[in-house]
Amino acid sequence: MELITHLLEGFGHIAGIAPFLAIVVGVVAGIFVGAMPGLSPSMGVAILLPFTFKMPPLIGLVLLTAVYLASNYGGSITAVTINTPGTPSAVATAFDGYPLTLQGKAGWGLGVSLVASTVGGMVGIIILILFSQPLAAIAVKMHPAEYFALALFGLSTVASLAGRDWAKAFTSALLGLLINTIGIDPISGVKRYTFGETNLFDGFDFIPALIGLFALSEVFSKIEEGSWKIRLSGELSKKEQWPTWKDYWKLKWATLQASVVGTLIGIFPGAGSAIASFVAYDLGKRTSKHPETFGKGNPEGVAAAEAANSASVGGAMVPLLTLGIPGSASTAVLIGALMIHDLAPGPLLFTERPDLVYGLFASMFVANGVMFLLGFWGSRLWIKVTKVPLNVLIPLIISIASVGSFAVKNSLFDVGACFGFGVVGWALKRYGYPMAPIVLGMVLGKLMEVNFRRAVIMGGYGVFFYRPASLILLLISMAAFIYPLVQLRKQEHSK
Amino acid sequence: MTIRSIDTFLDSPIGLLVLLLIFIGIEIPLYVFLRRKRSPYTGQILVLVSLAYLSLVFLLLSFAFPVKGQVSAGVTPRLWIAGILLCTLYLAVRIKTGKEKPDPSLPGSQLRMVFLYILLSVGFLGIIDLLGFFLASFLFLLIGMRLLSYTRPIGLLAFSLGWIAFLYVVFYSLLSVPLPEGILISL
Repeated sequence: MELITHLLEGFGHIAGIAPFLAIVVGVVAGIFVGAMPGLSPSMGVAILLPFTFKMPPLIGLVLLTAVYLASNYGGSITAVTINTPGTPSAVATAFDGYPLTLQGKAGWGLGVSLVASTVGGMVGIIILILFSQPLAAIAVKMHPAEYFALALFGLSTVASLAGRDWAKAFTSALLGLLINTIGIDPISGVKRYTFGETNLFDGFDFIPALIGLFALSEVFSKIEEGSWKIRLSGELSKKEQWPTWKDYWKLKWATLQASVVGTLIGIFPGAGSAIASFVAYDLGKRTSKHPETFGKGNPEGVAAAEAANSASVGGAMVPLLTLGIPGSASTAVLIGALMIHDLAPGPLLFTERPDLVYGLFASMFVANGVMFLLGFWGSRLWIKVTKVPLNVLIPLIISIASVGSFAVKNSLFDVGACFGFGVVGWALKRYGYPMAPIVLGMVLGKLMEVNFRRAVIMGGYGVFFYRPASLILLLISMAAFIYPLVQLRKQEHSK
Repeated sequence: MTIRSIDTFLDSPIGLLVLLLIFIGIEIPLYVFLRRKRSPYTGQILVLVSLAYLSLVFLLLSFAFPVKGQVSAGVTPRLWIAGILLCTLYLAVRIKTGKEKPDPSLPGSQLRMVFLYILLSVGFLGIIDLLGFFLASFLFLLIGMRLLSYTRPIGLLAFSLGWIAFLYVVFYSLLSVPLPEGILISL
């Protein structure tokens, strides 16, 4: 009851023109930042941070949280329309979103991603409000062995993404993991595979790699197919198809399931929205009645990935608000925002400044609603991108890819790396090596390696099997690896 | 000469060049050989050899990493390398036994255009420092669209200039991304 009272009071605190304007500006900026490859959600939050210095703390926080929340949705727009995920968490959205565009159903991809993002965001906030304190306590007690097992579970999605070419998918994932070892070793400080090149000391940045592997490899494939005189979504005269409310309703279980999974994964510091969307996508495929259509334009795939990555925002706010631990780069910047206003995130924040905490919760609900309305209107504009002829769109995609790669660290080396990944990605894709497992390997690489080594240092190689939670997660991962392969064998046998 | 001294040499810019030359020295003769034999797996074999070569080089280099504590910096890369080598071996056996699908044959494949575009991209990257980002992008867009048979002169100019204006306003002015101005403009 007390919770509801606080929440209603929270809505009272944000009832006004200034908070509403902050939400609208934050959502617009967030969608834009998310949609632009190379601009990360954390960058968007950081860019707007200086503007909040002179604002009242609640308004400043509302603005920044709205940017964070909307940027997760924004990443899906370019993933669906031009196969260029604006954020790492939108990679899984592109698996089915882009095939929908190729089928002339970009409206479906954009519509489903918007609705799933909104629902996922709402579920994430509800879980944040209801369970933030007990969930945060569990998350911080996780041993490195359990984090490693969790990352391994994330990697198990490769098995179901792979289909018949599982060996190629595993090779791709391992390649991603190996690429991730380039740079200074995070534990011992040893330089690995840097070839004396200072730009490689931090390893390959994730965003240029992502843009190269997805956008440029696709561009080169399109050029090779010689299909550059057509449009991505078919003829101009074709009326765009949008899902009806009945269609959205059919996706309710896929969306809700992914929302819960996304929130739970978002709670673990370092796990992040990308892992959440991959795991939820995988789970969506396993529980779907039509798993064979995943990756070929199944709206369930878009819903699962988008709901999870938006829900993970609520999850990432759990350790931030209750313990003062940032779960992601964006929440780290948000901690900075709290500190600027002399606020210490942690359990005391709930008792000392309930107005701020519950005002923030309330604003997240409103931001989701605003995101839905702006996204609904904006999708009609974004869809026009797919109507541009490919012989115009291809050079533009390469141009935005180079700006996006440059913007990450203001380095031309990253632009070169992006092109390099594009060429390698095109060559690998040509012979059946999927791109998604490479990205997954790069996302999970550091988390896996650091926690694997920490766990061994703390308890030897047996530690993964002594700890019950780790053992259970390992067994689940093993089953998740093996089950799709057994299913595949059975299918081949029955044929 | 110890493995460590070889590794130290290879893990340098000259070492990288040597490794690249060895790679080209393996791939080109292999390509010629496979083409002569009319192998339906030419591309896949080249990819497998590339992956195996990369893994072996990384494995060799990992022996130079200093060993500190129970799990040194080389442990995880070696774990991933072992996995890649096992997978490539498995795929090689499948190719040998004919169980793997042959290379895809794309009717009307525009491979030449892909290489032209890759060259154009490399050229674009090369002239950014000289001409600056905006001028280089403008030229890239014009040539890029023209290469893909877009012929309307007004469209060519409108798309290129419009796009450059968009990048300038959003990235350079609003977001203060210091896109290279180029040596020519600086002069």
